[in-house]
Amino acid sequence: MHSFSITLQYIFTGIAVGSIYAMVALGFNIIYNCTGIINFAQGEFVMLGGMFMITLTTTWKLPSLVAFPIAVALVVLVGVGFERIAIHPLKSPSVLVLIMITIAGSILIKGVAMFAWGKEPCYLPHFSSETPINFLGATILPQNLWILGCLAAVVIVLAWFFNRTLVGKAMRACAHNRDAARLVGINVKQMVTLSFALSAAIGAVAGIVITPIILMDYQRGAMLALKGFGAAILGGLGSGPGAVVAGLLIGVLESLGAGYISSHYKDAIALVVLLGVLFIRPAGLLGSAEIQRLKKF
Amino acid sequence: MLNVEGLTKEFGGVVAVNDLSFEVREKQIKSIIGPNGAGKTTLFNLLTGLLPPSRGRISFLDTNICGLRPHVIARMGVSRSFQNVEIFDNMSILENVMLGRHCRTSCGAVSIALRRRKAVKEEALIREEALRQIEAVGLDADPHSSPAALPFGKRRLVEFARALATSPRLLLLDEPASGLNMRETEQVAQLIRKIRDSGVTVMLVEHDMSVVMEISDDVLVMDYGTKIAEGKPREVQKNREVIARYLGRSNEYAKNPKP
Amino acid sequence: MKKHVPLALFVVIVMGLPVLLKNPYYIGALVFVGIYSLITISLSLVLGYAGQISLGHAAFYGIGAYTSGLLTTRWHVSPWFALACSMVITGILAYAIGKPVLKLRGHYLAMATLGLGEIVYIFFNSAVDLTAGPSGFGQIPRLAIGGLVFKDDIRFYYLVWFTVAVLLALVLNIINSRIGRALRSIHGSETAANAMGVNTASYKIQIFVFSAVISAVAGGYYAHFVTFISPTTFDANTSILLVTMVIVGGMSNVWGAVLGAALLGTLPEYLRRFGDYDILVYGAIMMVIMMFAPGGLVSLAGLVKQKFVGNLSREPAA
Ligand SMILES: Nc1ncnc2c1ncn2[C@@H]1O[C@H](COP(=O)(O)OP(=O)(O)OP(=O)(O)O)[C@@H](O)[C@H]1O
Ligand SMILES: [Mg+2]
Repeated sequence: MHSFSITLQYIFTGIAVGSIYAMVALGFNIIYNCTGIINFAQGEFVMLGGMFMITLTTTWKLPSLVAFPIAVALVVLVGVGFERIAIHPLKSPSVLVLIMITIAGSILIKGVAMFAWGKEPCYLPHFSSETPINFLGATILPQNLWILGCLAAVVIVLAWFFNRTLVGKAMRACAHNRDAARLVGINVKQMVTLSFALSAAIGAVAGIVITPIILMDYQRGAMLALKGFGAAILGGLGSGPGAVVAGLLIGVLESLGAGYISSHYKDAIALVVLLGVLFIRPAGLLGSAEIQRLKKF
Repeated sequence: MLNVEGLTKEFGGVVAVNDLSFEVREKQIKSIIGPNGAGKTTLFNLLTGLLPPSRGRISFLDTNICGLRPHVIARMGVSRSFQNVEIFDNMSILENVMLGRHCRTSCGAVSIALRRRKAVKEEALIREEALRQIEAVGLDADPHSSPAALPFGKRRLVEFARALATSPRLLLLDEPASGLNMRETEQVAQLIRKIRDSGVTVMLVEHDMSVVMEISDDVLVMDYGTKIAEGKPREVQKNREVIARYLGRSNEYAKNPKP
Repeated sequence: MKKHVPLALFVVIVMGLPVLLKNPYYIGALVFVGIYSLITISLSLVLGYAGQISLGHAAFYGIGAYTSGLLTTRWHVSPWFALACSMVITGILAYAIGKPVLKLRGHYLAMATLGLGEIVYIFFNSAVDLTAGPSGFGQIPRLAIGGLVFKDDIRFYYLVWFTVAVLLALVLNIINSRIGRALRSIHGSETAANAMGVNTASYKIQIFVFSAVISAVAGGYYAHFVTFISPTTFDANTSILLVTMVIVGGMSNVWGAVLGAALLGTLPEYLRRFGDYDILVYGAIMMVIMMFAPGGLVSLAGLVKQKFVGNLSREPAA
């Protein structure tokens, strides 16, 4: 292969994985905007999405098209349940308490997943054929196209939801100013629950499409979450477009880094980016330099 | 003792303090008044180093304190209270006030960890001084209890005691009477006088005009970050512009209290 | 002196426990509790006193263990000297890391420390030439004083708990001093602390480095006690476990840190029959404590005491 097509190959792979980071980052942002919480259990939503899909299609033999929405719905249930049980009842919790509760939630979900699906990675067949498509000397797996398609769908749906629907606009109002939103009659607590539902759904979609490529096991979620958070920070915490661009960017960087530098340190690349951004420009590349946000913590 | 020249602070587009110059002389009570958002708290934040100024010069006891970090300025003898009382609810009242003594003490971690005699002695002195300040501000509450449950007025007193425990040369008080009832306000006014009489210079931001006019030696009026008048309380009260821009507005407010 | 009663009591219990627990197996478990306690005590200063979240302390624990382990096995440095080196190296690294990290707050700080811990973990796994990678390495020599080699559990038990007692004594002195108050003031309100003359940035970094150095000691002890180390001991789960211990015990109280380490450190022993599913119990404990007693078990004890003592002292007045 030409070095050009090798690079292209890395970029394609990177974009696919990056789409997943982008979706995880979107999930982080939705909850963060609405509540100021970073949900450390975000990665577990992704893992659950993949796991439910596996059970529904392989054990229950449901067709993918039917299993997909069911898997998403199940993860949404988990997300909403988690919020209702663990976060909803709290009165003015400190940041530390919130962090620890979402971590506890992630541990619990992980534990249950291990109980239900065991420790071995589980396999999900590709959505369509596994024959790679040739493109300028590089190859693309059809599954990668599915991933990109899902990201596009998620972005379009979110854009429509936040800009065109009343509920979406109400959520944006919450993100902007919670007290003012409450004053104009928005039920903020409901919005919080909804934000968990929405971000669980996005996580689930990400988990379902990525599982055929990376396989899924009960502790896969943590690393995906950390990298997704890196994307959220790089894009400017709370910024939707930022999350997408940064997610793709981190995916590509990681893939190039793994190819040209060292595959051992592949996972470290996203983390180094995360730390670099936090140290140098906490508002993110695309976020407004509104340091005030940071101070709210 | 304090000399401010051309002090300016911009937040993005907002000019919170605009080319402000004034002087505070030793052992006087200087009041800063002005409507909400005039930049009074910002001025205090600049003087104590909590915010870096955009331009200008602040000299305290003939040294330039611009750009110094807040703990250094505190050590030089500038202390303050906060508009919305910032005391440490995770410590007892006594410990809050003892913390004020921090910048006047110096025992290091090693001598403290080993309980060297020097450290034990210093700790005793800190405690003694803190108890003295608690008494001086007239706070009657169990010093070992948490300040979290105290009524607002007493929380203010804890903050005063803490500020006094730093042995300040200059004390900045940000609206010390807001949220207090009339009796408490009178007490605070007395206290401020007492503090001044003990040799501490006081800068006071206050909306309660009766307090300001009663105890200040000098009044500075600000609006939109700029100085619009300065002088003796009587003079300022008669100043046309002040009446028009500030007192007039508050009269309006008095007539029609709903915002 | 009333102040010294708890510490004296603690020493008596620590001395007496091995006599009561004849089973050497339990002694081994208590060695680990001691090692954890070293970290949780120092971590509680960072977390509970200064209010700075660190989800990456396993990294310092690991750096301590690896430095000490590598120096002794590869370069045949004497174990005590290796331990001292690991403290210095970890301290320097913690300073370099803490300088930028401690400018962050809340969620950012939590994620940054988590990320740093993860990077160190990846390094342990990937720098195969140095660390032997995921499989780890063994034959780390034991600590010894003169002819006394700390080779069985009971000897090591006394070594570890002696260290814990010393640390506790020092830390108890610190927390009831101007430095302890300065740390707590940072937690209470950083702005006010600054304005009252506390150099908050400097205290934050000092306490962070201190706790990293103590974690390195714990790591060194671990290496020389188990004589084998591999990366999984120092992963993010360990960082989270350490924070959980501090919080479950009660983060604004050093005794809580010991209590948390003792409870969660021995939990695997009670949960043996649950096998791998102990993770569920951990999660549940953590969740319940955070939801219903964010001040930890010590705060519950305090509440009970207050109720009783409060009622007693109030009755005559009423
Ligand atoms: N950290 C900040 N960032 C941006 N703008 C600020 C900041 N602090 C203050 N401001 C702005 O500066 C202006 C002056 O505010 P400041 O708090 O100093 O007023 P003030 O005179 O103390 O008012 P009040 O009487 O209500 O206390 C206001 O317009 C305020 O919005
Ligand atoms: Mg103000």
